[in-house]
Amino acid sequence: MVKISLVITKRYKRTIIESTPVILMGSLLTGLVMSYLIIWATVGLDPLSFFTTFYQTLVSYTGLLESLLFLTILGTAISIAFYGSYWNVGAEGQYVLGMLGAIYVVMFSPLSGFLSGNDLVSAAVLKLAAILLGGALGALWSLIPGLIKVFTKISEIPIMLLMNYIAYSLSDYLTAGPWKGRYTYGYIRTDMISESARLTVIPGLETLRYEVVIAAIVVLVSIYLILDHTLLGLKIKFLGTNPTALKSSGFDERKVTVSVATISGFIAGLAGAMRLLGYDYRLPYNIGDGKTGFYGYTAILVAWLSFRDIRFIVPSAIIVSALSSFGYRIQMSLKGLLPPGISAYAFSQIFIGTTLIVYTLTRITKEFSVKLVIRR
Amino acid sequence: MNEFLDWFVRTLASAYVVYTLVGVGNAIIERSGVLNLGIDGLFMLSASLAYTYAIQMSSLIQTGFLAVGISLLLTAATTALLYSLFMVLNTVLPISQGAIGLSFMFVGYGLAAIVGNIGRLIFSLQRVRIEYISITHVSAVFIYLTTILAVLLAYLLLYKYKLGVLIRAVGEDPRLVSQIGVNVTYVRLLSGLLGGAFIGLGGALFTLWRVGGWSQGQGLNHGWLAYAVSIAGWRFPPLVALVSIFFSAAYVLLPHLQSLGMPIEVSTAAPYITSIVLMVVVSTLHRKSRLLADPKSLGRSFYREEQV
Repeated sequence: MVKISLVITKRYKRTIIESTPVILMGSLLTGLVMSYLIIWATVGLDPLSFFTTFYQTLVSYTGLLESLLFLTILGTAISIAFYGSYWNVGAEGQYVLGMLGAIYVVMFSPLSGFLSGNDLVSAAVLKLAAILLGGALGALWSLIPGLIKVFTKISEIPIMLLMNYIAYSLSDYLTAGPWKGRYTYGYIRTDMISESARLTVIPGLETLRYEVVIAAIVVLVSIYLILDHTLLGLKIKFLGTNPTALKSSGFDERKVTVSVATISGFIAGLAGAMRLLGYDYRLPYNIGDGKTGFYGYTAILVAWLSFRDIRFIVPSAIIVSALSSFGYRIQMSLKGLLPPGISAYAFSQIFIGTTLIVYTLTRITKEFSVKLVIRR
Repeated sequence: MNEFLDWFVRTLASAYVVYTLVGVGNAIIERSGVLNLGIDGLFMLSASLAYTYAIQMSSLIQTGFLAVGISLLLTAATTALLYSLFMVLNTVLPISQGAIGLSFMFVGYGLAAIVGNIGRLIFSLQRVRIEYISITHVSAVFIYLTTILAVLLAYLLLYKYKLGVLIRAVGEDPRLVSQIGVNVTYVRLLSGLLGGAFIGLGGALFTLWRVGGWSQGQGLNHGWLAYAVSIAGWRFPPLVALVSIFFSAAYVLLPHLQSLGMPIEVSTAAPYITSIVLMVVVSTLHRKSRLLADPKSLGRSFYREEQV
């Protein structure tokens, strides 16, 4: 009788092929080739124009910087959650809550009347308060599934995904109801926030804002420091890799989960608040219909590709923002080829899916060797 | 009266059947100790598969009824196979179940879009007509009874037969079970096949009965709603079927409150809020009963060095 079995053993010596960058690039390439094959099989797009489009996307970087910054901030937020095995797929909802907090502070709170003067100090205080409340609301939104996980052991993933839709509805409710704007030319949306409350455009780089650049750096560095140089960071890492060891060394697993949830949600809320103050200036109706840019979901990919290594957040964010721009461009070149009713959106989804699964499977080989053994 | 019955069958009964089948399928899978986080992607995929199979079958077989029946079975079989892969990966790989579940979710979303669009492509070339399961009361009653029977079967299988006992034992302590010579991977593979067939059938009925058509993004989130039903039913098939009654009633009736002055945004969010509240409330209730408790090793990675 022939017996086939899969033998998985822990690797003690590392080779160059198993290093993170190689796996990262390998799974991206596989995802790219797979999605090309599917496009080729369905509509017969020639390889030359596919890969030329890809090359052009990588070369033109100016349009990428904006999404790069937001994906860095959100990717860091999700990444620290992943470190602690808290699968924060609810960053989208926390981001929306951040927007709500920011617009509340600058338009509807008593603070906005108090600090309506045009002097620099009161504008700065107002912006800071808006960003902080946005962060706090994001933290609160993330705390709900965190507490549910801690007290009832229900996985946070379904709760968060459902809560993303509740966040959309909440935003729509406020936009169409109490916060409905007066000067909107018949559209359902809020009014624009005042000039003084907006973030500062960097001269020469119109897609960037000073505050967002600073925030991205501060968030990245502080999360790096927290993880590598504090007791909390150590506890978070233990929670992600060996929760039993954490428990037996006398720490409360639940407290660590709750703090991870709070930190992660706070950063995601921060990003949402900055988006509103720096770019959108108002809340649109039907916000779930792509008006958030789905940054909260795309950032999951960033966190995933840099899995448990904060140093890879920025490279991953560059790759992912290049890819979403590539997805947009390929839609343009597919436009004439696709039969009616078929959207190019499907291809970006399949690309994300394949990349994720290839990456997940190949990164195992970084720590474990997988062999197929056939015995007689 | 007839009008009411018609409305009832079209909305409530079809919702009930879908959530019950998927909920019970999820119960079978999670009882074996694997966190089923791929459910939404795979549900969406099965909803698309059913459409494409139905198109293809309708162009091959002239009898519309038969074509739809065959595509139901094909969808169930395909989903079952995908789930068995999911279960095996979750068992043999030294990687967290959350990671694998999320990957499957995304792959499911992507494949669902591709598969559904391929169906559209075939449709635009061949112009076939699918005989969607009609809303006649006879077919509804038939599906209804089949669902109840399926729930009963799932219960018997999980609690009265050796395989079910093994599935639940693996969910409690896979290491202990493997020490007495049972192949954990094999048991989980079987539970994936069974649960996957239920989920696939639910997804197929969602497309071919409840909706009667396919559009981009069809079935998104309904997998999570069924997941909520399953958790709220303590992953115990008869109770899942019971909770599903209340849930589907709430899901179908809540949007109607709009005519009573409830804002549309609130009624849109109502099913999601209901599912979260249902899951949380129920899971705080069942601490005492051994039969209804969560599987002990749910979500824990089963991996040994030198796994042979």
